[in-house]
Amino acid sequence: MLTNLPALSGSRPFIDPAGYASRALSSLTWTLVDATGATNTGDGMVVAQGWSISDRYHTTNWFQCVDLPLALGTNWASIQATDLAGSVAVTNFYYIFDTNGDTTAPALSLTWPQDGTQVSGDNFTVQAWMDDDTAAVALQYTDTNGILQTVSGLVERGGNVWVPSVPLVAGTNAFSLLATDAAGNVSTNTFSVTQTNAGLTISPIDPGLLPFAYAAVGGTVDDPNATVTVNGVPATVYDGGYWQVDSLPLAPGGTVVLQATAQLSNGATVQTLLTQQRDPMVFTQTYGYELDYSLTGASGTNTFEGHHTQLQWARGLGGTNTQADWWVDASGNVSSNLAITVWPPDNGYLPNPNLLGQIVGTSYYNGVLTDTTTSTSGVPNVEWMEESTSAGAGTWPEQFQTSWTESSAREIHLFTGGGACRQSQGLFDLSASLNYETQLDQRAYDWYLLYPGLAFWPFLSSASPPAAVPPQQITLAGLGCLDEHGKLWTMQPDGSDLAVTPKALSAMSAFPALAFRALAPASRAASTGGALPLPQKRKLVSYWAASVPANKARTTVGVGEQVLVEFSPSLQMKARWTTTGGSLSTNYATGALLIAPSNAANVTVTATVKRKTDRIRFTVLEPTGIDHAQITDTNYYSLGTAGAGMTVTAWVKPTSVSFYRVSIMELGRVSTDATGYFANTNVWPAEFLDHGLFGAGWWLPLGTDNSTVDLAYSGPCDPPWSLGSFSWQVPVIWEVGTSIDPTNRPITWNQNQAFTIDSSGTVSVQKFGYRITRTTNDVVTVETNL
Amino acid sequence: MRILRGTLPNLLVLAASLTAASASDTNVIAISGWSEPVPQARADMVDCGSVRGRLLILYADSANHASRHPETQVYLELQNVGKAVHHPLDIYFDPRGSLQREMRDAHDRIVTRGGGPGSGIFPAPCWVTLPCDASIRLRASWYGYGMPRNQGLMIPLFQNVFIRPGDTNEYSLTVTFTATLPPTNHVSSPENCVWQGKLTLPPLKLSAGGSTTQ
Repeated sequence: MLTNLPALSGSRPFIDPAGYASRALSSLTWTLVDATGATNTGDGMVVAQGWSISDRYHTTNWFQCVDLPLALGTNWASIQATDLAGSVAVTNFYYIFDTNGDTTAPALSLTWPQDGTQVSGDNFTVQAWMDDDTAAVALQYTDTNGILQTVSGLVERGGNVWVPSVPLVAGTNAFSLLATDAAGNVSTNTFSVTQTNAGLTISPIDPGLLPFAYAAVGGTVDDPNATVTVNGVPATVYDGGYWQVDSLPLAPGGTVVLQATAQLSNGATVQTLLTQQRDPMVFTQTYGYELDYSLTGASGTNTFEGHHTQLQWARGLGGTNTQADWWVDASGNVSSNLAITVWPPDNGYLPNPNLLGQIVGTSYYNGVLTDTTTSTSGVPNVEWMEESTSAGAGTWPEQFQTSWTESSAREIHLFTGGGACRQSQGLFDLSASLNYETQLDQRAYDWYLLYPGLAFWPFLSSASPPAAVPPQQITLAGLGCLDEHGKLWTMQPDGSDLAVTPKALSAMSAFPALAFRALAPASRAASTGGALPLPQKRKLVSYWAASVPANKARTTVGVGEQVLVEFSPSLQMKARWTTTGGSLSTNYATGALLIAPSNAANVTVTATVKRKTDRIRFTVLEPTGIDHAQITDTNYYSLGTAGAGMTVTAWVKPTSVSFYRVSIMELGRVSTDATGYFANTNVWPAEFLDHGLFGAGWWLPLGTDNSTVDLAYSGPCDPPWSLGSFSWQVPVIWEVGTSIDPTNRPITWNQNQAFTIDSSGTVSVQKFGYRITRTTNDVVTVETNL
Repeated sequence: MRILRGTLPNLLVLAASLTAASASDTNVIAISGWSEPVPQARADMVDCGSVRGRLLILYADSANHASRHPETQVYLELQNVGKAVHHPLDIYFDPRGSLQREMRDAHDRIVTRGGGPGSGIFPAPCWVTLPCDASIRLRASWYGYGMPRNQGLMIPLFQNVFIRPGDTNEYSLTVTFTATLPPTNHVSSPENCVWQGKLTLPPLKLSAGGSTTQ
């Protein structure tokens, strides 16, 4: 049953269908055929399960499928859910993706830094939020060379926005944060940040401590008299400028945010922000057990004894443990004890050992309070089993008359780690093992003897020797069954929390009613064969051959760029690789080499492993012109000679990608605008007006930073000098590679190289926005931004 | 049959050298004679051999060139004619700074005429290693420059030379190569010698007429 797509139409390019099933699921997958006919498939996830301590199989399972990519038009989606008995339920629906009529720009709010903030350091991270987590975010600023830079931001499901490593320079830095939705609506948030020399740092938290809900956080501040807060929590500032918060609450999720503010003794306020990514982990979401039993006729008297123990704990809610026992003597007097332990809420993925449970114990005699005690308890720890439910009344081997019930449960989740950005996912190979339990009833007498004076063990014990559940019979919540090697492969989105509780299908079949006689010989359950191993997440990554830009993980690339695509950590098996553009060489042990196509395109590289697919998408860009240029040399001619020249390094845009396999060519054109001196063939031969004879027509390879060098010069101008000018129109073409016939290549941009001379022999050359003017006395002036 | 522009002595020099040095050059404009060898000795008095050079001017298209006219290419060919088989020579070649040209007319007057404007790139300086009894041909002219055969003669050294079409005068072009140390340090292999010296290449007789072509 879907619950979050009432309209079945919208203007956002992704949908995240969610809903619930009425029973526990063993697998959940989705298929989407978009409006172009392309088919995408993926694993869904069970995000929450109803908890019934007596019936864990007939509980509501809430599920979600995320990042279903839509194409404009009508898209068909199907969600397939399989329960533990193998029954399949399918939900199909159409979803119309249409941006027409959407004129509302995303609501974009800046979280940090606020306008006018003084920020410490030479770079910072922008944090924002917007109400459309499918929109794209970009930050724009003008760098120290006067070049407008645009940096893409990261958008997480839920709307958190991050733009990391934004450079700061001295003084006031102006920024524009832009959010653009699929319909092209744009929101802009402008702000400025002032870099301050006052030092304020945050030391990263040990990654091993990030799973907890609280962590000690420290850092430094230049001013030891400053007051420091982190996420609003006051810190203690020590001599020397070190500050610390001993127990800072950490919000759940893949990105941990630490924002420090220092109020300096001079009245200034300085801020900084640090983000850290949580690694994948398996953790306990909920667990509990319940035990009730009573004995009658013990030792042949009328003595009655009853016991009740109940523990329930859930992440985010904390837990309670109630232990009650009472008895009636032969005279009818009733004695009872009650101990209630309360653990505070704990939002960590691992229970915080410092959050002790508070125990209040009370004793009564015939209803009169006789004693009260208080104490503390550490983290509750229940050894897990899949299912252990018994109920019955019968004769104990030692003639005790007894009736009792007991059950236990524990819910295991996988947190996939990292920020929950769209289509950012990882390949997990999960493993688990289960052992059959066969000694449930035989241990009942032992419980009685051991409780409460000794350690109480209300659960099943492993068979001896352990009897392993075949891996194909083990299912991990909605992810499916393990393979014959005891592994389960699943592709799951980053920053997600999903159920992976192992269950044994055969145990399920042994408990059809889930309420059985305690002494039933067929009763079996399953317990873990050991702690679940740490999850191994592999991500599809790319290693670009180009050394510039520095971002090796970028997915926007230049035509012809080469990239090795592989899983990290590497796979010990071959994946099947395909690409929608360019060419792909799979003769690599761990990955595939993509050569981006020679034209602008969107390319998707797909790797398939164990029928799970991961995709990495690239946007391929073509050269579009000269981004900027810089003069490196003007020393061309000797004193007394008329002439000017400049050596210019020019960078082809966009510089966010590398065109290191691209060559550009200036096409030769004959000047048609020569005047004066340059039109006088007595001093300036007509051949000199033909650019095709003087450097045009040469394929010039670009560097990894898209740079090219051009020497633009007039040559010595022979006297007698007079006023004159001419120019070369310079169409530019490009190609991937060299030695290409330029005949049919389209002209991508036009530039110009212009010359002037005056009667004193002062010559100028203009190109790439520069004009260099040189007198015969060797006085050189440079004009820019022309 | 090649028809080379130049005086009889030069033609004789060319005839002697073309078969070995430019057998693959189908569009030779001119090749100078070899310069006198200039020896090099290390500080420890080890004989490091001698170097001689010559200039080659060709019509051809290099790999990156795709214009409507062939390039006019100038090469400096260096040869280690010493006997120091254990001491290869390291030579710093800066085609912009270490090659100087001087053109004189028939009256032995220096011609300072401009060679034209331009754009593009010029070969960058580099170190080359020349073992004993080895030759190397180094690009010494602008990339992508070339004048059609009936439009005069271009010698696109860094200071370009141009003889206009119809100019019936004959000119003498003398090129010197001076190898010095670059401003940055260079670490040679212990057995190598760094060759420094000046080669004066025999003058070339040039004109703008069709006789400069084949």
